[in-house]
Amino acid sequence: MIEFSDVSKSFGPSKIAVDHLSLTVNDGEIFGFLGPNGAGKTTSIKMMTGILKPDSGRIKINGIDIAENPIEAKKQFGYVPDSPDQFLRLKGIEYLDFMADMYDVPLELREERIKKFSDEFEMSTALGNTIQSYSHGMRQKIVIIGALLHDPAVWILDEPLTGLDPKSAYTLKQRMRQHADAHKTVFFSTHVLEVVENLCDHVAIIDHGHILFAGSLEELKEQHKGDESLEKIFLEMTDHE
Amino acid sequence: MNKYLTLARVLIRNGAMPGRSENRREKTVVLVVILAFLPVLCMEAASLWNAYGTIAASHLTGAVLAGQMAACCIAMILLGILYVISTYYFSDDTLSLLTMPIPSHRILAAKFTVVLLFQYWLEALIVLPAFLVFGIRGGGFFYWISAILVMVALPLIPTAICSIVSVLIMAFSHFFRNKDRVKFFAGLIAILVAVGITIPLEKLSDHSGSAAQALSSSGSAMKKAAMLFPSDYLAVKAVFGGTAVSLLWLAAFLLLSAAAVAVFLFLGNKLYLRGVIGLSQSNVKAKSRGGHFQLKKRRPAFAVARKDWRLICRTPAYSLNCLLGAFLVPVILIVVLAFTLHGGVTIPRGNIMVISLSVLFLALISTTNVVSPTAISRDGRDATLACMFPVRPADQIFGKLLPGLGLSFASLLIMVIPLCILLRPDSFTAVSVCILSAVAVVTFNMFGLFLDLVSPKLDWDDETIAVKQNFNIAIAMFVMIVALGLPAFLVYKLQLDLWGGVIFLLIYNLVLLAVAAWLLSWKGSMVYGSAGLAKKQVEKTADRQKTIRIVISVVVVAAIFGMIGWEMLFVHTDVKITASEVSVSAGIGESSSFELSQIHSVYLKDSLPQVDQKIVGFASGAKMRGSFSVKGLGRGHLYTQNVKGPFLYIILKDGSFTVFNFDDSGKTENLYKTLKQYAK
Repeated sequence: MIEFSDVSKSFGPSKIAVDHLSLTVNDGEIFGFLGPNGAGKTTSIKMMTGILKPDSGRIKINGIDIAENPIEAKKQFGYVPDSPDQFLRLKGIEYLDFMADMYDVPLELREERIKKFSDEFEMSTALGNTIQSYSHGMRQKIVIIGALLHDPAVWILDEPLTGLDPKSAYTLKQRMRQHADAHKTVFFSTHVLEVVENLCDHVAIIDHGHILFAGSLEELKEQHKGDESLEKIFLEMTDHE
Repeated sequence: MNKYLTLARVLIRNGAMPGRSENRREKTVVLVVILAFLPVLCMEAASLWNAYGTIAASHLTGAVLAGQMAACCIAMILLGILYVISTYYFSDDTLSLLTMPIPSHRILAAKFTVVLLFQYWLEALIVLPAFLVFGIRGGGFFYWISAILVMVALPLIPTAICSIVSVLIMAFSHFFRNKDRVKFFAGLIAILVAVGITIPLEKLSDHSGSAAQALSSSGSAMKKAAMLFPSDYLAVKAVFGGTAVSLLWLAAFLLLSAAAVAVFLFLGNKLYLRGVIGLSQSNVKAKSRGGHFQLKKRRPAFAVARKDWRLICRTPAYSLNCLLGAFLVPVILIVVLAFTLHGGVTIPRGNIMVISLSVLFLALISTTNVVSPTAISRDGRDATLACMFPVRPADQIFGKLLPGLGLSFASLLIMVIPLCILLRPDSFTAVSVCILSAVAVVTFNMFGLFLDLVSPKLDWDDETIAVKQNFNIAIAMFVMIVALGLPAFLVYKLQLDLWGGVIFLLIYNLVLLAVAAWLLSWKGSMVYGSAGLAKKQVEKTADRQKTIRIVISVVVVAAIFGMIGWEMLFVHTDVKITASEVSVSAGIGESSSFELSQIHSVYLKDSLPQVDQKIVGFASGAKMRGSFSVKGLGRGHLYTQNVKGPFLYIILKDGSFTVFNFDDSGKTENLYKTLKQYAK
């Protein structure tokens, strides 16, 4: 579970990134986080993951306040950032080994999980090369594997499907569904509204740091003439802002 | 022609001026860099100016200029070849250009122009002072016309040579088809050339008082070097010809330069594509092994340290500046010391000043690896991700500290053992220095990391920026010099005895260590705890810091200029004779004194002493103040103003000496008459 309670963040007096955001993401659901560019999605995610400190408000991951107990809170989630261009000088296997050390994954489990995920995402033969030599999609895959190695209860994914080939995208979406069905939490942001329509149980739409809507897709469609597509509803809502 | 000019302009702007919003700041940085090089140019010009009379009288102007031009061409080739490969094959624009309908020779002509801009900087540094001095002192109309044209055309042949070699290498060899490898070897060659150049430059400045002797010995070497570039003789004949005939030599030189460029463009048109297509950014194994990997569970601190260590070893900019610095600098110092001390010397036993200054020296050299003050900056954008790991701040900090500490202690070890052999200290001195240096090394690694946590440089596209344009390094060194210099000063002023001094130094260093540890722990907890290290937050601070850094650079450059100008213009030698001694006051580190009863002999000579080496003091041309090693006399003090005699030699009973020479020859003679009566 993820809870935002009245969270605000600004970068200077004229740039309010997130404004009194309150949001709850329950266990057992895939939660889509939508918004135009510069709406505050990535800022919200970075506050959730401890990379940024909110100016006010509280964020809890599975009931643990990330400001008061950051170590325990960070153990609860696995994070896939919006850019996969990280630790480029490390080989794939070195990166995964490093992530496993950071999350204290036992040796036997890490070997088993690395093999399982690298087979699933077809990365087994690439693990011996540096991440710098990977294509964008391969970099995305290695970051996803790294985030899932410690089997976190909460998945926080920022544009996770960007650059993935169709098979890998399908694999990831399957896993997201399985994870939510196991009464765990998947929180992901994306610009691909078709994926949100097919996958998400609940959505939130953010613009200029405010939540415009938070609820199920059915509730969203009921509020906006029933049979309009999510794309049209989204454009209407964010245009009016 | 239009398309070539358009392309060249775009490539120059793309490389030299990244983004209009940063133009003003970039221009300021360029201005500061130019100002930083001006003292070097001025000193080179001053040496040549002082020596011009002798050079002209010996008819060596042509040889000197030919030699300098040859040295310039050699430097252009050595430094240029890998820069050329980088520009022609690995620059960001190369891939985009390949997809466009532009013939190879046009791409190469434009890139050749980009490289030429870099070569003109080198030329200005090495050859411009000579052209200016010879022109002002003895040039006429033909000289200036020829000199300008020669200076414009001089880099063409060496750049063409670099370009031809690079095109051949890249077309037919696989070794340099890797950007990281090119960067590494380019940096290594630059370091070796820089070290290689300082030795003859140092010798030239030391010998410029006896310029003819220096030149005749180095003149033949210059002639040999000039033979490598026969075209330089054409250029020298053109410049010093002084008649209309010299225009023929000039035409020949320009034609030869143009021919070299034409050969390159012809060859490049045939071979460029063969070399550029299929280049990779890094080493990709054709077949990667799948299956089982050797995994090992590590504690988070060691995992962070291992990750950092891998980045340092695999990134050319980091391995050159961090790794190489940690090993090369101590080794070079030890070698230089060994040659200077001619096999060894015994330092004073149980001397507290020796201990305190040794600690400063060892700590300073051991921390030149710059690993700790760039520990966060080197991660770049990855640094923010470290805040999301469920790892205690103490573990993250310790992991970041380990590589720097390891390299610093390695440097310390490299120096301590040879120094013990060379300087033969007593056991108490050796043990005290080792313990205190070790404490200082830990302290200043912690402090360097603290600085980088406060103000990291995270927003870069080129790793070199994280280690080269990072002022945390300079600030850390400055603080260390002050912090370790202060106790040495206090020990001297308070006249502490050996044990008192050592205890004082130990307590002082332990207090510094505690302060550094507390600062690091406090900031680390903030960053890796809940505050985070987001790029946007850091950018705001970084912008302010950039302005402060530019201001500091300007102040430092102005201070250097000021000091040099002060030494040259305002510092004078002042001789005071009391009932028992002669005291000479000059600039900092240049003063001396001797007792009248120690005078063995006093005489006048018309010739300037021939200097082997400056030990401590100031030397510019014939103007020398301080301690020198002189041929035939050994070590002593020189206080000379110009090449004109008389020179007053005072030989002391212990074998040391002092030589005086004033602008006013009468003053020199009066001093001789005064001191002569004390000679025994």
